[in-house]
Amino acid sequence: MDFGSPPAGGSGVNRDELMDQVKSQIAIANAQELLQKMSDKCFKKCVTKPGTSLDNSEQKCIAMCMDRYMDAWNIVSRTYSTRLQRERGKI
Amino acid sequence: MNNPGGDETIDPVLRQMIQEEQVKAQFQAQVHNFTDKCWDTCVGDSRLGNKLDYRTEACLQNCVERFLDTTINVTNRFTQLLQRGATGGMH
Repeated sequence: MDFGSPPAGGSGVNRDELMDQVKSQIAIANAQELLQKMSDKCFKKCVTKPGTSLDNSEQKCIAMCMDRYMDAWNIVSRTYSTRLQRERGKI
Repeated sequence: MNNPGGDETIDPVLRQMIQEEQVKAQFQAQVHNFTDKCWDTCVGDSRLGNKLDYRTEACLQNCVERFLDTTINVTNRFTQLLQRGATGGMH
């Protein structure tokens, strides 16, 4: 994820404020990525015959799909984190 | 981080803090990547419910672990191939 380079030094810029900005930019980029993935997967799953609007069942499907995708994301995150720790333990 | 000629003016503590955020961001990016792939593999076209069933959860965990194993395998074998000079004009 590209978040540019920070201003040099710290003259007048509080380090904590800068870090807050960096963290929030990263969080925003992360959320955007998640939204893009969920839209993609849930469109594929739920909108198989695009009509002139999203009907009730499509909307319910999308909501459920989003919840399941976030469940999956959390499982993947935990699994990856655990695996990294295990690999580090081997070094 | 790329900052040619500007390193002397960056607070080293700040640089360290930013590097840590970069590592975290890379982790998040990988989680997005794995979730994308493993959703297709493990959820795919199947019906969604109010939670992911046990089989799907196990599949997601296995998918992450096996993908990492695959990456390691590919890297190791490729290294061997390079050493053997078996990759034609690639080196």
